[in-house]
Amino acid sequence: MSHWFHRNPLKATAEVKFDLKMVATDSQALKLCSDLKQARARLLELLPNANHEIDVVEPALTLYLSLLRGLIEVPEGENSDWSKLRHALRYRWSHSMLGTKAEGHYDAIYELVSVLQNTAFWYMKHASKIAAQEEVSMDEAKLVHRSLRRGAGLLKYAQDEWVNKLLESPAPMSDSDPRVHTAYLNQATAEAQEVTIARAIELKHNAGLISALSNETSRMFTTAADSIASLDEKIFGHWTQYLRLKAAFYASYAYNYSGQNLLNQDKCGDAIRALQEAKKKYEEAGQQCKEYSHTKGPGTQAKPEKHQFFRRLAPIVTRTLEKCERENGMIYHQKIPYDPPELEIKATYGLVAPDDYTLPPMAPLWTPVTYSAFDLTKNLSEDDSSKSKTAQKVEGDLPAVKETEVHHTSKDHKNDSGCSIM
Amino acid sequence: PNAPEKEPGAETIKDGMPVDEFGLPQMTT
Repeated sequence: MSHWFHRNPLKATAEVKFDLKMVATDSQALKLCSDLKQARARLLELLPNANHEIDVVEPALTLYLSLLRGLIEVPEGENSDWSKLRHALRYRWSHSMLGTKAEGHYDAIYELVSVLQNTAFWYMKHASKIAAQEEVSMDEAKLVHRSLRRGAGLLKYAQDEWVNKLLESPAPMSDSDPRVHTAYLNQATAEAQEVTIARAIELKHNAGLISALSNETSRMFTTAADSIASLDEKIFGHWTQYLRLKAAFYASYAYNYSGQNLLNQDKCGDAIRALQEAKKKYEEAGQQCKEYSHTKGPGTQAKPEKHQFFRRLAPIVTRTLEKCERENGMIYHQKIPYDPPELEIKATYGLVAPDDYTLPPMAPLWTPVTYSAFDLTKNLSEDDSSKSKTAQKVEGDLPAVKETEVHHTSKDHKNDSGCSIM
Repeated sequence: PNAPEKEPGAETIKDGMPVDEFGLPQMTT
């Protein structure tokens, strides 16, 4: 699936020194600061490279979040909702669609949300990297599926559990803006379903099942596109076009398999109308591919129209339509309805749900003793100067993350779906 | 404890029908 998926840029962030002041020097507390710094740096070093394995990135995320948790919640036995250190440090992050402009907050929850989102973006990029290989084995197809589910799971968890606890409401068009979140969540879920559709085609599953799943996937891409349709077109237009072209493409698949299913039930007139609709949607998808390639905006340039999975559909629709028309003229003599047949709204099999995610337990170094070693008054007073608006303005923008290039094969795959993820 | 044989989220039965890791009905060969 070379150049099949569109991917937006990663979020950039500024270094955090975790230079927290203490009542008296405490070796465990010092170690916590040092571990936090190292664990954050390690995770940030891994994320720009989608070639890493999940087994490398996931432990790095778990380690950092187990340490960060102590800056958000209090250790067991303490009597408070939030850690006294939650607002002790400033975290600066850019947003995936807003270029180098950074947003900073004295809020460890802002850091948590940003880290979860950026790791989710890594999972989406990792899935795209595996799918772009020349040959994709069954186990690798599962990895693509799993990566997209996990990415969706992290985004959902961040939004459902933490965004409402942020000090300030998310800025419009930021990664926590519910409209942007909805687009990402539906994109990742729909893309996981794309894997399932390709597999269902490859295994020659029932045409009705493939049609229903394709229809659900098309609707999911439409939901994603609609959610960001009201945002600045200069920024979001490119991404929106990608989501729209995928919606039209899977609508075409849905009508194509609906046509095959109707023909299997000797409903030839309805089948012809479904296949005519499949042709129309395919042409729409082709047109949207052109518009996508001409629309500027953040993110990669996918080339779905060049992919075998895209190209294979047109001759199938034409062939089946011609067959239906021939048979209707000779055998069935059925009326062709004006409106296309209703598609199955709910797929029974193959629907994807984001993976459940919960924070790892707090790192064992966080004990009531280490917690009490940190002196909140010192942290606040020494940071006052950098909290001023002028000081924050001087910080400026953040350079874009330099992402490692991923190899995309230009060869066709040798199987029925042309998708290779079997 | 033993390691789980299936990845989290992978179903084996849906509506009384055995399904694979993608949630598709198991194909009988």
